[in-house]
Amino acid sequence: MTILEAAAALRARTVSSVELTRASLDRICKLNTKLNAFLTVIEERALARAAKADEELAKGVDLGPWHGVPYAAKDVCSTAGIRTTCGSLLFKDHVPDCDAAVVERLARAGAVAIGKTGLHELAYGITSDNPHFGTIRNPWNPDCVPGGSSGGSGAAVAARMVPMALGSDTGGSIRIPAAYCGTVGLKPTFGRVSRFGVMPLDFSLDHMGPLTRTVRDAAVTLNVLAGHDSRDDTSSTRPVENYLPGENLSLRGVRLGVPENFFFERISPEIESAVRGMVRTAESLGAHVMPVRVPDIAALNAVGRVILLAEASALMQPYLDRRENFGADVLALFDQGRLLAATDYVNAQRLRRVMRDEFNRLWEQVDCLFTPAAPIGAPRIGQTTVNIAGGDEDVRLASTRLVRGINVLGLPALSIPCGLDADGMPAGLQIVAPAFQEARLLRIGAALEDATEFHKLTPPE
Amino acid sequence: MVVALQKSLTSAFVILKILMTDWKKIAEARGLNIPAADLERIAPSLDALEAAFRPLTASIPHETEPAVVFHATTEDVR
Repeated sequence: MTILEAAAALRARTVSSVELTRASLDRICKLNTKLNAFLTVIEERALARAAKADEELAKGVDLGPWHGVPYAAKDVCSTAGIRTTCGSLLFKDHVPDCDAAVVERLARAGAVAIGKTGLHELAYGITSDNPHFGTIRNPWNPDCVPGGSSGGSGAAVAARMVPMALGSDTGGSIRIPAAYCGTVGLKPTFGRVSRFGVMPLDFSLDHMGPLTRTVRDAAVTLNVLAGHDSRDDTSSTRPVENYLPGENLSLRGVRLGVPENFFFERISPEIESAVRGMVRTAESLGAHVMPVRVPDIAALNAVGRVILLAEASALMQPYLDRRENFGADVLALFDQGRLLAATDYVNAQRLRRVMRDEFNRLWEQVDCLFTPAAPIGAPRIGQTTVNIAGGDEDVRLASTRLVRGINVLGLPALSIPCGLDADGMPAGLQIVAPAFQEARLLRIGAALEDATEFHKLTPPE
Repeated sequence: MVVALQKSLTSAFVILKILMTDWKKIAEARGLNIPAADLERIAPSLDALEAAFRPLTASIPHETEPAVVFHATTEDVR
């Protein structure tokens, strides 16, 4: 069931929260040995919270659509009294004494936390092939990666273990697993969702958001997560909206930009075909499709990499002499960050402002951009290079090159399923909107979802 | 002819090596405990990033401040 289906069923008394929670636990029990999506399952606590939700709903206490619905949190989200590892040996026994703001908000909305999902070590990579907690596998093909770093969240939602799992996104870590696992992934505007209590990877690029099966479920989750939090210095005071799109949506009048440069260069033909199919669907719903030239995304990616390498290494500096505690790929990134010049970091943050202003001029022409979320379907576990359009490319750079720049700009972006590639692996469409235009983004996504069936595709069992 | 070509290629390589950043020396100067084999492995990534990034800095308007505390819109609403 989706979140909204579960909410309706709970109010119609055709299902109880305990039954929903039990069903989630049964799915985890059945599939987690194969997929390794969950690091921690909190069965007793979840069932107790579900029983309380049933009592509350029976008494007429209704906290909204999340009341009594189970979910999972990426293991970077602090959970009071529950181990929070960040996928790292350094924190393998870390038990926080407070909840992250996102966990707090979901608890206030009556949601039932069911466990913590696995991730790429320290959320610093895209394979989720974790040397300390095991490889997370893609439900569509267990020989393939689920993407990352929120790989456990992507796998858990795709395998119908939970209707929503929280993710964090520093350079694509929500949208990449969403694309590779065939789920919806929403990275809101920088500052829209509090990062308080989330183990940081990068001070100025981290974003929190949900992975779900439908766009409306992402919207109903954002309704809970969005809002100012004085404990997060980057949190925006801009008022929140009702993000849940209505029914019978039209895209009439929407100026839809399709990049002529960068985004459709060096991508798999099936992914291109799937994304362009969604452009045609949007056009049939009334959108005005406009080819546009976007600012230099390769430059934006270089800026993003300098910022990420420097900030992540600064953050982890106290631990880096204990080299045996890190996986080789992650350690290599921390070493790179320590070797960069301070002037490069400062200039990267200066360029970020210049590029934001360039991108803002693009929003005078169009209301949103349609791009692929990833140029390829999920790579195989252990695969280091991929051949795209006749050239070999590092899997990590290929997976991040269409999404990383959006973090640098802080813009909201949504990945939704748009088909399958030749190997039967999901393809993702990325929709990008101007800052704080999540409502527009979700309305466009919901209109496409209503007109297509891709979100209903399920992995083979 | 072949010898001349080899000589010019060698000179070009030497110039390139001089222009390229010596990551090993930087690591030593900063007292970073990074094993030589690990440095060798990451050097190509750093070289590529530097080559992509450094030319961009020439275009930064002089008065542009860094966005260390970044806001996604130009008007700060916090």
